[in-house]
Amino acid sequence: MGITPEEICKDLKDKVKEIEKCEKMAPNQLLVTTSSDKICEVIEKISNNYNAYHLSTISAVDLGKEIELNYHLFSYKYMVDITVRCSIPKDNPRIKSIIDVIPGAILYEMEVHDLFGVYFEGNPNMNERLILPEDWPEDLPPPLWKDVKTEELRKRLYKQ
Amino acid sequence: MTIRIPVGPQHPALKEPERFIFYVEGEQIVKVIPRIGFNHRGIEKAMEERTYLQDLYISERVCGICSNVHTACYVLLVERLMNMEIPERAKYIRMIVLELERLHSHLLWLGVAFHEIGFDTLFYLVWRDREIVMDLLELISGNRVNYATNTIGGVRRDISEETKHKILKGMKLLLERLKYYRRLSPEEQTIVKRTLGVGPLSTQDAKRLCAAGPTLRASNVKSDVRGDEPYLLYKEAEFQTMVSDLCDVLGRILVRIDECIEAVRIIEWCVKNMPDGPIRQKLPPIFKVPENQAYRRVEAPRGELVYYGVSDGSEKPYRIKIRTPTLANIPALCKMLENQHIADIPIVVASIDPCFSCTDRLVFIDIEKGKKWSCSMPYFKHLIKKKFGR
Repeated sequence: MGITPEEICKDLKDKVKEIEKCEKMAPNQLLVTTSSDKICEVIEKISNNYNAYHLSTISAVDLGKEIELNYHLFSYKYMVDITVRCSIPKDNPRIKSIIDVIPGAILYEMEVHDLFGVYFEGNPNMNERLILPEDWPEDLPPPLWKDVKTEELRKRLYKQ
Repeated sequence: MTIRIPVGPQHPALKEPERFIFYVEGEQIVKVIPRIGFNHRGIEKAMEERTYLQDLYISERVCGICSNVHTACYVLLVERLMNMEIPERAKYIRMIVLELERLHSHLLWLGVAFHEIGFDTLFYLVWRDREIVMDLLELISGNRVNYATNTIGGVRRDISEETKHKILKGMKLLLERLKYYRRLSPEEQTIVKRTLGVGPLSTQDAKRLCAAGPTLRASNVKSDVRGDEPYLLYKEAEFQTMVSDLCDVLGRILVRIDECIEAVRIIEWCVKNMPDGPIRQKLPPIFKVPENQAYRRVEAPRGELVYYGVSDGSEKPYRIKIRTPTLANIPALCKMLENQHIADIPIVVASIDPCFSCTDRLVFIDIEKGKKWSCSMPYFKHLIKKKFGR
């Protein structure tokens, strides 16, 4: 202990060249921004160098034109949360799967795929539903998109 | 010959809807497909459409057994979004209710585990002792389920001197019982024969599959959010992380009993050190939260609980993401069931303390020996067709 978040940030940038920006999100929490095509490399390097084998979850946020993905890792080396963030376009939401780096990510990727329609290249379960029922209409947009209203979903699903 | 046994959704062992399909060869399980997703309520979407205070009540209803930890994580999230400090006394009360909830959840699980291995005498005894905790929770909050204690800015109910006295008395009694169960569990042959070496999960697999909570700690990984990244006053309370190197169901039983003993110690510490003062900072029912983002983790009875929130300056959250501990433990559960006997299914499934009400997911998993542990449905159908010709 005794190392400040700023020092960890500097170290992170030195060790992982693909990082675009690193900032402090809260005490003991760092936010790392990268581009979506470098996500596997960044997560692999952080995971190996900082003993951050634990992925808590993947949070997706609909930003209108883009979908933001947050990979929440925990570094047991410095006892800090490291959130790796990248954005992908909403009209073609595709990103590489990280299950080769962190096998425990498989369900989180399926969850984001179901609710945000993000396709994870390399995840073998991308044709399956995780949360939504199997008879969920194929032509309905992913339910957690901001432009999808609950009322419309209800009308479509229950036809009342 | 491989036989397919579907179990559920009206499950005989657990009181929640989910389905497992077991592929067995003789007495041995070769494959398991859990299908979980019969209880999806769209809570994340519902939270985006309601105000911050209304969401507090939704978050309480994510789970029935660990309802308080959900509100605790939610209020910590909103308080961080608003950069708000809460009164000291509120932190102590939150911790007391959180740890009481952990006690009741672990004791409930312990009873269920003993029931699953056919030791019903202990099931009754444990649940009798659990009533001590339930009575205390009822005394503090007025409810046995959904305590509604936490609120944004503090807590809603104070703990009086008389209640403090009753808590200490209850904890003293409970500690004796817990120490008895701790001494009994590794010695009693009825327990040991049914749990030692059953449902194994190696340290490496537990780390690799991102398991959480007592499941992870029973695989000898020292990881607990309360110790790793202390929230509220766990640092001041000198919290100790409990681990077991047994990596099986017995390890999970021992870790949970140890955690109960630690919870009793923390509750006693909180009651003895609680300062006087206000218990909440009043907020109007509808308030705006500045543009911000926050990420909070807390240790629920079942493991790490995660909330991620984004606010946009309005009175409703832009996005709330919840990750419950059972979801994190499902890949680990499938690994545990590999090569186990049919008779051990209930206790192994129960050993992660699953809560499908909060998890509510669905997945296809293939754990056939030597194969990739997870596969897609078309590939899976192809495999089945190849193997059984249908």
